[in-house]
Amino acid sequence: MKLSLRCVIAFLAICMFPIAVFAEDQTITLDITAYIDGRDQLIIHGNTLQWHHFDFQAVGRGGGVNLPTTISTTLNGAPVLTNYNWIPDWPYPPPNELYFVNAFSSIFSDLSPNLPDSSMTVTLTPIQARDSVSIVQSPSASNNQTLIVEFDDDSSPGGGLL
Amino acid sequence: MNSTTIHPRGAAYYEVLLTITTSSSLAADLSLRIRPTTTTVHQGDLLTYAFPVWNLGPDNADLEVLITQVPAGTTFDYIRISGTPGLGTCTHPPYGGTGQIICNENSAMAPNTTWTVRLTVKVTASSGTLITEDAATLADTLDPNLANNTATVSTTVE
Repeated sequence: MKLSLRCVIAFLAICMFPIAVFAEDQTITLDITAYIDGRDQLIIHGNTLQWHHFDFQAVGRGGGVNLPTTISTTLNGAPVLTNYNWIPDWPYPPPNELYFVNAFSSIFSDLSPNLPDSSMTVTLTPIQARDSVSIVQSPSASNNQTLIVEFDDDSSPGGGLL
Repeated sequence: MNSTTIHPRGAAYYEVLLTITTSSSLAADLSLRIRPTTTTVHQGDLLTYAFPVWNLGPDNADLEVLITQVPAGTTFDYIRISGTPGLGTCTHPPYGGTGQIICNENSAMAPNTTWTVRLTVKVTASSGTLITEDAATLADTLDPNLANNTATVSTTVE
Protein backbone atom coordinates (compact mmCIF):
# COMPACT_ATOMS: atom_id res chain seq x y z
CA MET A 1 0.00 0.00 0.00
CA LYS A 2 1.46 3.29 -1.06
CA LEU A 3 1.96 5.78 1.72
CA SER A 4 1.15 9.40 1.23
CA LEU A 5 3.51 11.74 3.06
CA ARG A 6 0.74 14.18 3.76
CA CYS A 7 -1.49 11.40 5.09
CA VAL A 8 1.32 10.27 7.36
CA ILE A 9 1.91 13.81 8.61
CA ALA A 10 -1.83 14.20 9.18
CA PHE A 11 -1.89 10.86 10.97
CA LEU A 12 0.98 11.92 13.20
CA ALA A 13 -0.71 15.23 13.93
CA ILE A 14 -3.92 13.50 14.95
CA CYS A 15 -2.00 11.10 17.14
CA MET A 16 -0.28 13.88 19.04
CA PHE A 17 -3.15 13.72 21.51
CA PRO A 18 -1.89 11.74 24.49
CA ILE A 19 -5.05 9.66 24.71
CA ALA A 20 -4.23 8.15 21.34
CA VAL A 21 -0.62 7.46 22.19
CA PHE A 22 -0.75 5.72 25.53
CA ALA A 23 -3.09 2.87 24.75
CA GLU A 24 -3.43 -0.02 27.16
CA ASP A 25 -2.25 -3.49 26.20
CA GLN A 26 -5.02 -5.05 24.18
CA THR A 27 -6.05 -8.39 22.77
CA ILE A 28 -8.42 -8.20 19.85
CA THR A 29 -9.95 -11.16 18.05
CA LEU A 30 -11.58 -11.13 14.63
CA ASP A 31 -13.59 -14.17 13.64
CA ILE A 32 -14.29 -14.05 9.92
CA THR A 33 -16.53 -16.49 8.07
CA ALA A 34 -16.90 -16.27 4.30
CA TYR A 35 -18.05 -18.30 1.31
CA ILE A 36 -14.90 -18.76 -0.76
CA ASP A 37 -13.99 -20.21 -4.11
CA GLY A 38 -10.64 -19.59 -5.75
CA ARG A 39 -8.21 -17.06 -4.35
CA ASP A 40 -9.27 -14.00 -2.36
CA GLN A 41 -7.49 -11.67 0.01
CA LEU A 42 -9.05 -9.87 2.96
CA ILE A 43 -7.45 -6.46 3.52
CA ILE A 44 -7.78 -5.17 7.07
CA HIS A 45 -6.75 -1.64 7.99
CA GLY A 46 -8.00 0.51 10.84
CA ASN A 47 -11.75 0.10 10.96
CA THR A 48 -12.05 -1.24 7.43
CA LEU A 49 -12.29 -4.58 5.66
CA GLN A 50 -12.13 -5.10 1.92
CA TRP A 51 -11.95 -8.18 -0.29
CA HIS A 52 -9.65 -8.50 -3.26
CA HIS A 53 -10.85 -11.23 -5.60
CA PHE A 54 -8.44 -12.93 -7.98
CA ASP A 55 -9.97 -16.02 -9.58
CA PHE A 56 -12.92 -18.44 -9.69
CA GLN A 57 -15.95 -16.95 -7.89
CA ALA A 58 -15.99 -13.82 -5.78
CA VAL A 59 -16.51 -14.06 -2.04
CA GLY A 60 -20.16 -14.83 -1.28
CA ARG A 61 -21.10 -15.28 -4.93
CA GLY A 62 -20.47 -19.01 -5.52
CA GLY A 63 -23.38 -20.55 -7.40
CA GLY A 64 -24.94 -17.17 -8.07
CA VAL A 65 -25.93 -16.51 -4.47
CA ASN A 66 -25.08 -13.41 -2.47
CA LEU A 67 -23.92 -14.56 0.96
CA PRO A 68 -22.50 -12.29 3.64
CA THR A 69 -19.09 -12.18 5.25
CA THR A 70 -19.82 -12.77 8.93
CA ILE A 71 -17.75 -10.86 11.45
CA SER A 72 -17.42 -11.39 15.19
CA THR A 73 -14.94 -9.47 17.30
CA THR A 74 -13.83 -9.24 20.90
CA LEU A 75 -11.75 -6.78 22.87
CA ASN A 76 -9.89 -8.22 25.84
CA GLY A 77 -12.37 -11.10 25.86
CA ALA A 78 -15.53 -8.97 25.71
CA PRO A 79 -17.71 -9.36 22.60
CA VAL A 80 -17.98 -6.26 20.41
CA LEU A 81 -19.42 -7.43 17.09
CA THR A 82 -21.37 -10.68 17.16
CA ASN A 83 -22.13 -12.44 13.88
CA TYR A 84 -22.38 -9.15 12.00
CA ASN A 85 -23.33 -9.88 8.40
CA TRP A 86 -21.63 -7.72 5.80
CA ILE A 87 -22.64 -8.30 2.19
CA PRO A 88 -19.86 -6.81 0.08
CA ASP A 89 -20.78 -5.05 -3.13
CA TRP A 90 -18.86 -6.05 -6.24
CA PRO A 91 -18.56 -4.37 -9.63
CA TYR A 92 -21.35 -6.64 -10.96
CA PRO A 93 -24.59 -7.40 -9.07
CA PRO A 94 -25.68 -10.95 -8.22
CA PRO A 95 -26.14 -13.51 -9.62
CA ASN A 96 -22.91 -12.56 -11.42
CA GLU A 97 -20.07 -14.52 -9.81
CA LEU A 98 -17.23 -12.33 -11.10
CA TYR A 99 -15.77 -15.54 -12.45
CA PHE A 100 -12.03 -14.91 -12.89
CA VAL A 101 -12.61 -11.17 -12.61
CA ASN A 102 -9.84 -9.45 -10.65
CA ALA A 103 -11.84 -7.02 -8.54
CA PHE A 104 -12.07 -5.24 -5.21
CA SER A 105 -15.22 -5.32 -3.11
CA SER A 106 -16.83 -2.40 -1.39
CA ILE A 107 -15.25 -1.39 1.92
CA PHE A 108 -16.76 -2.33 5.26
CA SER A 109 -15.90 0.59 7.53
CA ASP A 110 -17.55 -0.35 10.82
CA LEU A 111 -14.98 -2.77 12.13
CA SER A 112 -14.81 -2.46 15.89
CA PRO A 113 -12.45 -2.62 17.62
CA ASN A 114 -10.30 -1.36 14.82
CA LEU A 115 -6.85 -2.57 13.95
CA PRO A 116 -4.32 -0.58 16.04
CA ASP A 117 -2.20 2.09 14.40
CA SER A 118 0.92 0.97 16.25
CA SER A 119 2.97 -2.19 16.54
CA MET A 120 0.98 -5.39 16.94
CA THR A 121 1.35 -9.14 16.72
CA VAL A 122 -1.13 -11.13 14.67
CA THR A 123 -1.73 -14.86 14.77
CA LEU A 124 -4.10 -16.73 12.48
CA THR A 125 -6.04 -19.85 13.46
CA PRO A 126 -8.02 -21.59 10.72
CA ILE A 127 -11.28 -22.91 12.15
CA GLN A 128 -12.79 -24.17 8.91
CA ALA A 129 -10.85 -24.32 5.67
CA ARG A 130 -10.96 -26.47 2.55
CA ASP A 131 -7.52 -25.33 1.44
CA SER A 132 -4.99 -22.86 2.77
CA VAL A 133 -5.36 -19.62 4.67
CA SER A 134 -2.35 -17.49 5.49
CA ILE A 135 -1.18 -14.03 6.44
CA VAL A 136 0.49 -12.64 3.33
CA GLN A 137 1.15 -9.21 4.82
CA SER A 138 1.67 -8.53 8.50
CA PRO A 139 0.92 -5.01 9.68
CA SER A 140 3.92 -2.74 10.01
CA ALA A 141 4.83 0.91 9.80
CA SER A 142 5.95 0.49 6.21
CA ASN A 143 2.49 -0.68 5.07
CA ASN A 144 0.52 1.69 7.28
CA GLN A 145 -0.42 -1.17 9.64
CA THR A 146 -2.37 -3.07 7.00
CA LEU A 147 -3.03 -6.78 7.48
CA ILE A 148 -3.75 -9.00 4.48
CA VAL A 149 -5.08 -12.54 4.87
CA GLU A 150 -5.17 -14.79 1.83
CA PHE A 151 -7.76 -17.52 1.32
CA ASP A 152 -6.28 -19.76 -1.38
CA ASP A 153 -8.84 -22.31 -2.48
CA ASP A 154 -7.28 -22.81 -5.91
CA SER A 155 -5.86 -26.29 -5.37
CA SER A 156 -9.08 -27.87 -4.20
CA PRO A 157 -10.39 -30.41 -6.74
CA GLY A 158 -14.01 -30.16 -5.71
CA GLY A 159 -16.58 -28.93 -3.27
CA GLY A 160 -17.18 -29.94 0.31
CA LEU A 161 -17.03 -28.47 3.75
CA LEU A 162 -14.45 -29.37 6.32
CA MET B 1 -17.53 -12.40 -17.68
CA ASN B 2 -20.84 -10.94 -16.68
CA SER B 3 -22.88 -14.11 -16.53
CA THR B 4 -23.34 -16.77 -13.87
CA THR B 5 -21.04 -19.74 -14.41
CA ILE B 6 -21.77 -23.12 -12.90
CA HIS B 7 -18.74 -25.32 -12.40
CA PRO B 8 -18.10 -28.44 -10.34
CA ARG B 9 -15.72 -26.96 -7.78
CA GLY B 10 -18.31 -25.07 -5.82
CA ALA B 11 -17.51 -22.65 -3.04
CA ALA B 12 -16.90 -23.54 0.59
CA TYR B 13 -17.22 -21.79 3.89
CA TYR B 14 -14.00 -20.65 5.45
CA GLU B 15 -13.70 -19.41 9.00
CA VAL B 16 -10.58 -17.95 10.55
CA LEU B 17 -9.77 -16.45 13.90
CA LEU B 18 -7.29 -13.59 13.97
CA THR B 19 -5.80 -12.75 17.34
CA ILE B 20 -4.17 -9.35 17.56
CA THR B 21 -2.14 -8.27 20.55
CA THR B 22 -0.69 -4.87 21.17
CA SER B 23 1.69 -3.80 23.86
CA SER B 24 2.36 -0.37 25.22
CA SER B 25 5.24 -1.63 27.36
CA LEU B 26 7.89 -0.71 24.78
CA ALA B 27 8.36 2.82 23.53
CA ALA B 28 10.84 4.69 21.39
CA ASP B 29 10.76 8.42 20.78
CA LEU B 30 11.95 9.14 17.25
CA SER B 31 13.18 12.61 16.43
CA LEU B 32 13.60 13.84 12.86
CA ARG B 33 15.43 16.84 11.45
CA ILE B 34 16.16 18.00 7.92
CA ARG B 35 19.53 19.61 7.33
CA PRO B 36 20.21 21.09 3.89
CA THR B 37 23.82 21.60 2.85
CA THR B 38 23.04 25.23 2.17
CA THR B 39 20.20 27.67 2.65
CA THR B 40 20.70 29.37 -0.71
CA VAL B 41 21.17 27.70 -4.09
CA HIS B 42 21.18 28.53 -7.78
CA GLN B 43 19.38 26.90 -10.66
CA GLY B 44 21.41 23.88 -11.74
CA ASP B 45 23.06 23.37 -8.34
CA LEU B 46 23.01 20.10 -6.48
CA LEU B 47 21.32 20.37 -3.09
CA THR B 48 21.73 17.68 -0.45
CA TYR B 49 19.36 17.15 2.46
CA ALA B 50 20.35 15.06 5.46
CA PHE B 51 17.48 13.44 7.36
CA PRO B 52 18.90 12.24 10.69
CA VAL B 53 16.43 10.10 12.64
CA TRP B 54 17.36 9.81 16.30
CA ASN B 55 15.97 7.18 18.61
CA LEU B 56 15.71 9.01 21.92
CA GLY B 57 14.58 5.79 23.59
CA PRO B 58 13.89 4.36 26.02
CA ASP B 59 13.60 1.15 23.96
CA ASN B 60 14.68 -0.10 20.58
CA ALA B 61 12.79 1.39 17.64
CA ASP B 62 11.81 -1.37 15.23
CA LEU B 63 11.63 -0.92 11.49
CA GLU B 64 11.84 2.83 11.16
CA VAL B 65 10.44 4.36 8.03
CA LEU B 66 11.31 7.75 6.56
CA ILE B 67 8.85 9.22 4.08
CA THR B 68 9.64 12.24 1.98
CA GLN B 69 9.64 13.31 -1.65
CA VAL B 70 11.69 15.16 -4.22
CA PRO B 71 10.74 18.75 -3.43
CA ALA B 72 9.00 20.87 -6.05
CA GLY B 73 11.51 22.78 -8.12
CA THR B 74 14.07 19.98 -8.09
CA THR B 75 14.71 16.58 -9.65
CA PHE B 76 16.10 13.43 -8.09
CA ASP B 77 19.86 12.92 -8.27
CA TYR B 78 20.81 10.20 -5.77
CA ILE B 79 20.20 8.94 -2.23
CA ARG B 80 22.31 7.15 0.36
CA ILE B 81 21.84 5.84 3.88
CA SER B 82 24.20 5.72 6.83
CA GLY B 83 23.97 4.98 10.53
CA THR B 84 23.61 2.09 12.88
CA PRO B 85 22.81 -0.74 12.94
CA GLY B 86 21.35 -1.40 9.49
CA LEU B 87 21.59 0.71 6.39
CA GLY B 88 18.16 -0.15 5.01
CA THR B 89 16.69 0.40 1.60
CA CYS B 90 14.88 3.18 -0.24
CA THR B 91 12.38 3.33 -3.04
CA HIS B 92 12.81 6.52 -5.03
CA PRO B 93 12.18 8.08 -8.43
CA PRO B 94 14.67 7.52 -11.24
CA TYR B 95 17.51 9.95 -11.90
CA GLY B 96 16.00 13.19 -13.12
CA GLY B 97 12.55 12.22 -11.87
CA THR B 98 10.24 13.46 -9.17
CA GLY B 99 7.98 11.78 -6.67
CA GLN B 100 7.77 10.05 -3.32
CA ILE B 101 10.69 8.49 -1.44
CA ILE B 102 10.24 5.78 1.20
CA CYS B 103 13.24 4.48 3.15
CA ASN B 104 12.99 1.45 5.43
CA GLU B 105 15.59 0.88 8.11
CA ASN B 106 14.72 -2.87 8.10
CA SER B 107 16.10 -3.51 11.57
CA ALA B 108 15.95 -2.37 15.19
CA MET B 109 17.65 0.86 16.21
CA ALA B 110 19.00 1.02 19.74
CA PRO B 111 18.31 4.01 21.98
CA ASN B 112 20.59 7.00 21.46
CA THR B 113 21.61 5.97 17.98
CA THR B 114 20.85 7.65 14.69
CA TRP B 115 19.94 6.59 11.17
CA THR B 116 20.54 9.12 8.44
CA VAL B 117 19.26 9.33 4.90
CA ARG B 118 20.91 11.80 2.53
CA LEU B 119 19.01 12.94 -0.52
CA THR B 120 20.63 14.92 -3.29
CA VAL B 121 18.48 16.77 -5.79
CA LYS B 122 19.18 19.08 -8.72
CA VAL B 123 17.64 22.50 -8.55
CA THR B 124 15.49 23.31 -11.58
CA ALA B 125 13.52 26.22 -10.14
CA SER B 126 14.33 29.74 -11.20
CA SER B 127 15.64 32.58 -9.06
CA GLY B 128 13.35 33.71 -6.28
CA THR B 129 11.71 30.32 -5.77
CA LEU B 130 11.43 28.90 -2.29
CA ILE B 131 12.08 25.16 -2.28
CA THR B 132 10.36 23.45 0.62
CA GLU B 133 11.12 19.91 1.73
CA ASP B 134 9.21 18.02 4.39
CA ALA B 135 9.46 14.53 5.80
CA ALA B 136 8.00 12.21 8.41
CA THR B 137 9.30 9.23 10.31
CA LEU B 138 7.62 6.46 12.22
CA ALA B 139 8.34 2.95 13.44
CA ASP B 140 6.55 -0.17 14.53
CA THR B 141 7.42 0.59 18.14
CA LEU B 142 5.04 2.87 20.03
CA ASP B 143 6.22 6.48 19.92
CA PRO B 144 5.23 8.46 23.03
CA ASN B 145 6.05 11.81 21.42
CA LEU B 146 4.92 12.32 17.83
CA ALA B 147 5.53 16.06 17.89
CA ASN B 148 9.12 15.56 16.71
CA ASN B 149 8.39 13.02 13.97
CA THR B 150 7.97 15.53 11.15
CA ALA B 151 10.21 18.29 9.84
CA THR B 152 10.16 20.98 7.17
CA VAL B 153 12.91 23.13 5.72
CA SER B 154 12.96 25.80 3.01
CA THR B 155 15.77 26.88 0.72
CA THR B 156 15.81 30.01 -1.46
CA VAL B 157 16.93 29.91 -5.10
CA GLU B 158 19.07 32.97 -5.81
